[in-house]
Amino acid sequence: MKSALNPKMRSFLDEQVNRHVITRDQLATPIPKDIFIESAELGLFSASLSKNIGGGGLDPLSYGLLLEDLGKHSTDFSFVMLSSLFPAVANTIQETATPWMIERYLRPAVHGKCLASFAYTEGADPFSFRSSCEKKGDKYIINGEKFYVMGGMQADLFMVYVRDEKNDLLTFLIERDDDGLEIIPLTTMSGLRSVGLAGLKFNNIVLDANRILTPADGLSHVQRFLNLRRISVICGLVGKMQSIYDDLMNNLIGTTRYERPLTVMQNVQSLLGKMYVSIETSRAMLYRALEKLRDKNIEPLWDPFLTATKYHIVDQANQFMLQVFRLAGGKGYIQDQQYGRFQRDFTGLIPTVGAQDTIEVDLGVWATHNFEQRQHRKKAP
Amino acid sequence: MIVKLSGTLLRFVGYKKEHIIGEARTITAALDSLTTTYPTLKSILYDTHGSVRGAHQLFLNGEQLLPEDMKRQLQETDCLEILTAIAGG
Repeated sequence: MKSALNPKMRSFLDEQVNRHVITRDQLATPIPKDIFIESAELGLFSASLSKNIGGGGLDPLSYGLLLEDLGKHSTDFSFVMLSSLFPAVANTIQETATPWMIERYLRPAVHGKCLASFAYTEGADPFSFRSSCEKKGDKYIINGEKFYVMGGMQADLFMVYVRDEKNDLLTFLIERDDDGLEIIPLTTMSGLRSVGLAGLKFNNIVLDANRILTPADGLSHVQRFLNLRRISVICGLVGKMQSIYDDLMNNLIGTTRYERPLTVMQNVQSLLGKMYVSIETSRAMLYRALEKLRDKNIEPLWDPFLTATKYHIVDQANQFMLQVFRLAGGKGYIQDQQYGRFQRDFTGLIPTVGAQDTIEVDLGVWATHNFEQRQHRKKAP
Repeated sequence: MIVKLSGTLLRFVGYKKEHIIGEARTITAALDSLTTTYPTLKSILYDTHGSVRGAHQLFLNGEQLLPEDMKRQLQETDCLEILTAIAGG
């Protein structure tokens, strides 16, 4: 199958992204912002952004294939995560953006010059958020705190969800240089250590009304964003599983025990078979999800199939890495192949955009309702 | 009729999963009765325009309801369920 990445993009990955990955991981150094400008010049970063603002305008299926390939060729999984995150936020902003927002944020975003992340989680359910906005005259005063903002160290702009006096959730755009915004680097995470994870503190940030992205029901807004994000976040994971599998296979074929390559041993073949199933079932679900997105055949706020796809691929990827270690033996453990780094990176997907255990419960409840609905249809005259 | 809630919404109704509503002719009336008993549920369930927020899905006897179904007539034996699937970031 032809690569979705052109030779220039692959060369960029090798020279700019992959080369420093180990040091970045060891020191938890955020990927430099300039990398995204270069990525944008190559049409990679801006591939999914709308043609109206100068982006590549790829449909969800084509873009998903591009991300899958990016996962295959980038050895820094944090880069893969951010390459899908920043454009996903920009696309969400564009849905309700004013002309002023388009000029100020989205046109620069196409060139990698305005990186937008989102700030939602604050260690509580969304009905208990403490971050708030208070209207004073024609200004809005923002106070509070957000945890775990991916790309927070690099982002120029934050899509932020805060409560108002009526207990409704509103969405604001807060700029990196706004007075009162404190960005706190987080460096103790297990995986995705160059993703630039940060906490945000809002200390009496004063905003004009032109920074309001959604004036009401931000809960639906963020659920719509997360619904789509559950797929863009896992496209690269399938590509990365494939590249690790190919690398492992190469090592196993080249490793001799009892005068035979390891790949002729039945226990090895069995595990390789299991891993193949993991990759191909993940890919099958991913492609079906991407087709549903392309055809706009989804529930807008919480689609059970998109959610099940995120759950399945993340679950498979984490089991897959344990199987990699069973086969790679000492070579895998001493980090020659960096398998440990990928294993740590993959755990970062467990709590992201809907924690795995929460998804299990939600899908179970949904499946029960779905069954009852089908029974109801059968009984209907 | 009975209104059933689950998950995130339970904390706003004293963690009681089933609520028997006596006099409610429509779905709107049933929800109004529930939010009168549990006032903090109101802003969670409804947006500022008085519509049920998109994050909540309503099912009547297993049939998923659309926003235009809110005036639908109810019977004493009906069961209205509210499903709320909310993800963290």
